[in-house]
Amino acid sequence: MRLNREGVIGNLPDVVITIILIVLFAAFLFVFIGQQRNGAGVWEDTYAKEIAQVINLAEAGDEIAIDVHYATEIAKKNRVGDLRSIVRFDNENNEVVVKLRPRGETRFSYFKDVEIVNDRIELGVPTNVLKFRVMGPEKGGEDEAAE
Amino acid sequence: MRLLNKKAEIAGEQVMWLWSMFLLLIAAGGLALGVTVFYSQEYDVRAIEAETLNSIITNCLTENEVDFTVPAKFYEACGLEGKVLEDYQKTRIKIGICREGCREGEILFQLGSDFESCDFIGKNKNYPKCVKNKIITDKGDKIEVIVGSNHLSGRIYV
Repeated sequence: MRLNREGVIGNLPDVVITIILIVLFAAFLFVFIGQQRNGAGVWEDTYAKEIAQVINLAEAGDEIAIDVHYATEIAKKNRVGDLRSIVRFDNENNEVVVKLRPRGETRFSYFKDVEIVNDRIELGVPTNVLKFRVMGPEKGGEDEAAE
Repeated sequence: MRLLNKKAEIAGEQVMWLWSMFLLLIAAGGLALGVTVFYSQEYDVRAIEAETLNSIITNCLTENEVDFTVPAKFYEACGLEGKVLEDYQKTRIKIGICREGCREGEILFQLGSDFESCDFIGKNKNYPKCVKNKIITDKGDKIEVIVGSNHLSGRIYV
């Protein structure tokens, strides 16, 4: 009888360790799947491509406003410093650059020969909105010269 | 004898514990891998992009007299950025005059190659997404415009 009690007490640490490990595994999986679901990479890709498609369909002179509220939420969650710079336009390479994580960004090119000017993210109007103007290459140059 | 059995029992329990932990690790790893593969799939806009480019080109050909001899003139007339389109891995364009059901005819402009893969719809997801369109010019020529897109985004990790 004494031997049995020792046996039970002797096994107790093993059982506790096993339970702790199972809980740790489960927690890791929940966190990992959650991170993947709200993954910045997926949303960077989506926003970059959608914005590029909008530019491809735009005409010179168009003023465009896109709701980027969810993107700013993801960027804030990932501790990206400046929420106003999560979407940039590389006019040199005709690329939309979206950055929703501290390390890395996603680029997607648009084939329309236009320049994006006056791009800014307006926060809290009431949602966060990306606004920019599409200009023909020559007009963009004139516009900049005028400014 | 009794002592020997006890030792074997403890060794067996240890082996079983390690085995169950190993199984748990394999299950967790498998799930993590599956989730990673699922969410690493790119948002596919290739078909939309091909459709957009095709409609821009067909509208341009309908409205303008386009000089195909110099690619830069064609890009300028249609408001397209040549240096983006000339990345052959991403985009392919073929504009030709259609004769004999488009099996024959003169090629007016071609960017990239392997337009045969456009016909293998659904066979391989790595093949470009293509859109074919035909227009009739004022001269009565039937022009076929084929645009394929295999444009994927560039993720940069710093």
